[in-house]
Amino acid sequence: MIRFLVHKLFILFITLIGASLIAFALIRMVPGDPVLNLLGERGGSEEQVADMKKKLGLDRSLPEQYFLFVGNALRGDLGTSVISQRPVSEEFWARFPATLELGLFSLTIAFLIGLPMGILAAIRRNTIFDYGVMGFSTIGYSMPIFWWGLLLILFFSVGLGWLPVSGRINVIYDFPVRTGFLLIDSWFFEDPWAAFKSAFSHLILPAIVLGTIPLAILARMTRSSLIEVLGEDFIRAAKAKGVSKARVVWVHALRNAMIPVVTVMGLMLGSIMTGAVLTETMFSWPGVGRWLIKSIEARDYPVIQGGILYTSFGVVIINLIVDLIYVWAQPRLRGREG
Amino acid sequence: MIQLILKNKSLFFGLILVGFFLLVAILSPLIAPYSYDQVFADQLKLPPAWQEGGHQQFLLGTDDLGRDLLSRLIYGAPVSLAIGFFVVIFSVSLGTLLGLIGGSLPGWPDQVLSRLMDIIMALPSMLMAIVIVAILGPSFYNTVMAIGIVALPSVYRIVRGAVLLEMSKNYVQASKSFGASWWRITFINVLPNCWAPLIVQASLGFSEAILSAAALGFLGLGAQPPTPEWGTILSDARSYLETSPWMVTLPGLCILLVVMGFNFIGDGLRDFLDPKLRRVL
Repeated sequence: MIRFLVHKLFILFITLIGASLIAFALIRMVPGDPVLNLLGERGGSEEQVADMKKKLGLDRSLPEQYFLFVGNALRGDLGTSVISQRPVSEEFWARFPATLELGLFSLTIAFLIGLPMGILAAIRRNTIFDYGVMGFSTIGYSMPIFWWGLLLILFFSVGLGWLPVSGRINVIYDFPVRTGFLLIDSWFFEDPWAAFKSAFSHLILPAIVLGTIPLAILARMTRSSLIEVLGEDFIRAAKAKGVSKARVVWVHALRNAMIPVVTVMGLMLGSIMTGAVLTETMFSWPGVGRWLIKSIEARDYPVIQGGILYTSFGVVIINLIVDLIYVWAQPRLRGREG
Repeated sequence: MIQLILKNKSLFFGLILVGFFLLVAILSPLIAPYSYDQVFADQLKLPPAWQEGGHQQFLLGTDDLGRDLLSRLIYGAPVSLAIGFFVVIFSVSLGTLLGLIGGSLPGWPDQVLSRLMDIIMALPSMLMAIVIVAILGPSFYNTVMAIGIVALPSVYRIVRGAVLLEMSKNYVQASKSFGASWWRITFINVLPNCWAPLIVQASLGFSEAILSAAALGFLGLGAQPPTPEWGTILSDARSYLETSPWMVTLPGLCILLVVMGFNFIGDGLRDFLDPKLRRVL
């Protein structure tokens, strides 16, 4: 186990170095002079240009610039946003709760619906219900979610007028931020129930949109994994022992079937981030994804650099956790490496 | 063969859907009623023909500039299929080459390549593609490059895994004992046995590429107007969602159907070629 952990940590370290190199290199591959870009089309005096270069550290050699960048990043300093003139890390953490709340809520929806769907489809294999789940799942993971979001807006917001189309909460509720999760924070507003309802109604559509693909994949993975486990010897043994059918499925089979499912869900984090970028753009959700898109449009390089670094760090950490869960849940693997 | 395809429902539906769009793409100049950029200035935002106010002349209506939507959607088929095609060619050929090297040369070549793929995988794919396109500038070619690069790791992993499995088999040992070179073992003996998972991945790669390209188009970073890329058409129509919903619903439907087609083919091939692959992919 220790060897496994060391090996994984080594890989994590290498991956992070690579990611930081890419983040560093990408914004230096941009055609054009970043200083002139920042100073605007008219440019500045020679003095201004030199000043700006010094401020951005661009007057040093490339390796020096890289080590400076990594050194600062390790101390949590990712530079200053060109647009807002505030520290990138501060801007990031101000938006992160919004994205996390959206992501967690949509994953909850995916689990609450996708898991039972997959289990029932596996138990009632080759029935109408099974075909329905499989068909639904194929549509779900083929869905262009930006279109799906617009359809939902068209139906629930434009047509029925039930749900709002943008933002996290009605602006009449002001923001004493406590946790950053508005579903929780809303209880500290003056009129908690109304505030909560407002936050919830803003959250539900984006969460459905973001949760659709994970839901579809979850249902499908659970189904095929459970079918496979139900065919194994230990299940037959349990049945022969006279264990009830419900117990066989819910206790013996499901526990083993969930191992690959959890792995896949963990690895899907990257695609959830992709979905978050699209969903947040569509619903004007004030999270990390929309912030990054806006920064890319505005060529706010420190933000792009920091954003790439933060998100890849998050993905790598989550993957490590998933690996550890995988090994922990499957003792057979403990002896082996990676 | 035909009977086998008919029995495999996924493959059957997939082939029909993809075949339809392929046909439309090939015949687009012949079957489109108008050119994709022909403007009818007095026929702005006409609804589809079957709705009130629609014209027989414009079956699916017109957009905000008075261009025939049906024609634009028809000309969009070759754009999306071409993006998918080039992305798959790029990622499958390069990914296979790297996967063969990584799988057959344990030690530093495998370590270096595998870590490189880990790094690409750690960066959220869409974000990566967006940054690449934002830097290089939005265009057809850059879209293909961006999506192709982020698609590499999945091909690499699948080929490497398959090669590792084959390398432990007796025929490779036999070949080695005859003194076959690394080149011969890897490319002549092992590669032909890895094609089953590869062809499934290629089909799924198609759907992923089309979806990503449409998403880039939606963010305004894909093929640029007046190129009739479906994601771009959809994105341009967003502001007319309330008044002219067909301008949004129809291009999205095209994306969904063609992506579904490739996913069905992928699923069908997986069952068809090797039921055991279910778990691997």
